[in-house]
Amino acid sequence: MGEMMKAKDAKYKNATCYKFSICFIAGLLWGTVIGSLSISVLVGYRMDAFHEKIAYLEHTIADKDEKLSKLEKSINNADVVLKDIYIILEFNNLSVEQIDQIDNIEIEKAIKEKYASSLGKEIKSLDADILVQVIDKRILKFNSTEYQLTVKKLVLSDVLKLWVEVYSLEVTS
Amino acid sequence: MSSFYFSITQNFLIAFGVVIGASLFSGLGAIITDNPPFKVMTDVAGSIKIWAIAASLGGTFSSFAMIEKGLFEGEIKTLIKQAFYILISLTGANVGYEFIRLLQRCGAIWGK
Repeated sequence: MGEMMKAKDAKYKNATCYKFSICFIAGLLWGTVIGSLSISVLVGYRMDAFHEKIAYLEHTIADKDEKLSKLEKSINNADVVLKDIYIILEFNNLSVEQIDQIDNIEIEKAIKEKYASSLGKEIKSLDADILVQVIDKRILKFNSTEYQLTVKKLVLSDVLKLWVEVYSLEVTS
Repeated sequence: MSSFYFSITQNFLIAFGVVIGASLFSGLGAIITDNPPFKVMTDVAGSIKIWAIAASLGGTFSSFAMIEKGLFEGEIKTLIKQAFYILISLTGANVGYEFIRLLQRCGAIWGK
């Protein structure tokens, strides 16, 4: 009798366990479906708005990129090249009368020769510091006279303008 | 309850459910696949309307057969009945579509 009761009890427990597990799984599945649908409905508008914003921003970026590339092209086409070189000589320790005009021309010519390779080059490829270093503190010798050059000022556009201070050095020998 | 009333209720709700269910689950799919959910939902709702009507009528063939019968055998009552079923299904599908549009409008109001 007791064993029969125990078997009945176990059977009842198993049936209850089965019922609960089925209900639990069904609830879990339906909960997942309903929850995910509710979430999708709730966040849907915001996500749509973000997608629209992304599309707009992508369009803006593409537009700006195109403009930028065109501008870059136009900048490259409008490259400024070095067309001429002007040398302005300032003799520091010599009066106007003492200045030898031939030496003046020779100095100018020598300086221009140093910069001849720069003519026709793009301005952006030229370095102002290097241009200064080419003739700064350089000593030029003409016949019996030596001149030391010092660059005072430099203007670099399509024309290179150099203000050069010239010191006449005394020749000892 | 008459079978006619039962049929129109069924037709209306099936068409409505097909549109709503398809749209909601397509929205979920859109979220998973990184697409705008409401846009996908309204697109699906719009395109699935005709299939919802077909599904609610229980397949188009029986309905067409009834129409044929009505036209060629002079059963005007059946013809009118079928036309009414189609109309009700059409209404159900459109109500479902508007339901989805309503969700979108609500989102626009509360999302701002």
